[in-house]
Amino acid sequence: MQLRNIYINGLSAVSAQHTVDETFLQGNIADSSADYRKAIEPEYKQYLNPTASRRFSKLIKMSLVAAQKSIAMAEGVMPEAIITGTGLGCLEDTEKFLRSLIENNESILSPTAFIQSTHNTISGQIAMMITCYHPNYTYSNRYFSFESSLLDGVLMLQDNSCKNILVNAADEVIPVTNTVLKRLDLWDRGEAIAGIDSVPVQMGEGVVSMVLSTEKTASSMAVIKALDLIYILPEEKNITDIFTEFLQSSSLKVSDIDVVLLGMNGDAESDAQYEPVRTLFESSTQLVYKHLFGESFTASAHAYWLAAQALHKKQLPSSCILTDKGHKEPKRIIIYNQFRGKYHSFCLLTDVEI
Amino acid sequence: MSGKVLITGIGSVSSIGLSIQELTDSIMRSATGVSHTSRLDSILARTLPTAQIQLSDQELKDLLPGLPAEQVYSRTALLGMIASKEAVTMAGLTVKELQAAAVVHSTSAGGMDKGELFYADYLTDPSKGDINYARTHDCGDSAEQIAALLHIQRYITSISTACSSAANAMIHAARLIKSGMCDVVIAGGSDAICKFTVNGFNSLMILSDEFCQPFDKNRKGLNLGEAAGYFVLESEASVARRGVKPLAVLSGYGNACDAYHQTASSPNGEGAYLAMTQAIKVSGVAPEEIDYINAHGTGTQNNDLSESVALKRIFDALPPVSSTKAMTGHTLAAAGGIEAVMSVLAIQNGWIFPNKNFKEPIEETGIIPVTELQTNKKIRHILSNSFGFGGNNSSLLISACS
Repeated sequence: MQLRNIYINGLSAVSAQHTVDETFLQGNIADSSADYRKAIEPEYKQYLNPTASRRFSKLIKMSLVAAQKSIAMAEGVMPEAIITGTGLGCLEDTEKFLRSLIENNESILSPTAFIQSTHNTISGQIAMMITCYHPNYTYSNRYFSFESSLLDGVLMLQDNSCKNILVNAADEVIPVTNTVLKRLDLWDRGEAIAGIDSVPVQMGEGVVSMVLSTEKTASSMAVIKALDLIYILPEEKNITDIFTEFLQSSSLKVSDIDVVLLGMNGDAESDAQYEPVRTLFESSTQLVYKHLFGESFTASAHAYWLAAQALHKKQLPSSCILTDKGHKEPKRIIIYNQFRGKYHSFCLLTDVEI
Repeated sequence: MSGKVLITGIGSVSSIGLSIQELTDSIMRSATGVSHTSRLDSILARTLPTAQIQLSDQELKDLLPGLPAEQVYSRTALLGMIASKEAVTMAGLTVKELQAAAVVHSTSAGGMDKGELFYADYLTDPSKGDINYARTHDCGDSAEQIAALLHIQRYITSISTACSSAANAMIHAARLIKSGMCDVVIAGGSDAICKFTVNGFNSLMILSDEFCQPFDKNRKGLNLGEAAGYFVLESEASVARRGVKPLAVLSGYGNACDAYHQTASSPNGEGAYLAMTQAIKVSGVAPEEIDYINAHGTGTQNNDLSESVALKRIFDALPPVSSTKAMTGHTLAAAGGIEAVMSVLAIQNGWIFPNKNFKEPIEETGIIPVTELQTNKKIRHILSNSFGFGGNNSSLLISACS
């Protein structure tokens, strides 16, 4: 879809890497010590009052901090919508309530965990933190959880009904999901795959928050030029056709793209789907990130953080480079994610001066 | 970013009917699905009145011939599949048209009905529990099952904003159509009753031990229900190309946040006020042109007072208003879907629905809802409210085709 310019004016991430202080870009890489990519949590008392720090789960706290920071970066604008994508929602509180329900045989239950267990708690608590009466949405649909939020925000900005929107991605790992997803053989390819170009990946957690705006400001980091989401590719087209059309809609050629940021996750079946894309963009520098940030339903949001930072700071994190074609100061980055041939998401991000 | 969003198919399944025809028959009898009969194996659900669909998961699955026998479906998925299939059949869409269409699903419980069974076994030993149950836990699973049944390929997503979920699904669908990204969107909501939600709402002390009495002075709380309500929403160009006659128009929508409390509504109903005002503004319809308001009206102390205050702030002369939750129960994420389906039926049949069990008005606001089914009314514009947890408030304006 061809868009008017949508600027990323505020951006913050809490992740398994040093994204809160942004030293990740200078090469400060966190190793994985847990059996999943655990978020490096900020010092909450800098951002939240003691009641919030005590009452809320890690996921809500990380989300509140990231939202606060991205809004502050965007000169403190009041977002005209808050949209959050979460694949699995507030797991810690969900498990807490479910466990007490089972253990107490449906009696004497405290409502606190239930209240904080619903997916929309994140967007709701952000709204309460900043007293925002504007539209408030929560998307939860596997590998489109964040992308649907982004799409909805972009569509709201397209029709001039608002100027600034806060879009978030949030997912946490709790021991149960870690065990269950291992049983499902998902998101844990740390040792399973060692072939060429495959990336060892673990499950990950984190949040990303961004202020999208129709207005270019001093804090603008990158521009979203084009975005499309396709659940299942139409039979008559392959991924190369889709990318060609995607570029054509922005009047671009393959060679105009400096960097492609790929969602490869070490899953052989899934990673095979990236091969035609890697061939198509053979002249572009190719980056991956899930080996450092982990895989989750909203892992791709971290690619948006990375791409915007790379465009803004005019540097590429060397730990993410899969194939280097010498693009030191990227101007155009394509983010592409999919899972086993479904949930294709494409976004073109560019330097604010383009 | 223009053009109308037309409704060309509706489908529903609830405690008062497994199809639009059964729902219609139940409305004509002013029937209720609220009862003391519980299919759900839950101590609380056996004690408190609920509005359950009295069919097992297997019986629901049997309503959809051709499903793979070994595949595990959450109850939420099955309800959504039944309702969305009915809507798509009514709209007369071909497989090719469906492949290019989108699904905007919504749910609050998702596959929790299976997730809680899995987790109870898992607690005894982490290697236990049917992993196929765990697979259905997230909201996206039911959206994928609906898409698979209907051959949808273009785009799928799910919204989870508690009791306003289905209304928000319709709003996202409207934006997809107006932007030109999709011509046809299957949108709605589905929620199965499960122990998690029954116990959750009980812990909040907002479940009534009697049949719920929306807008009544002596209301004691809500009755939980389960349902799915689904729509085919379509662009004007697509409707013209297919040569079909739309049933109604999604003419306006509004979403606002109460930003007051995670589970309670503000005393002045700010979020509700803003959502309704926005929906009316988007539609271009004057408040006095609205013929009927299908209220959120859950029967809790908090919601009904807050919603009443918001209604009085907007309307100098209040149009006929009622809550249909005494018939269907509060079906959470599906509520906005089934109530919008009922709104289309109200327009088609000239109906205003009864707010059952109402006796005395709330003193502060004095609103007296419609208590008997009214027929032969000319209904052109209906405002349908869905307000939820987390301050998520949404309103839809559904209009007759001009």
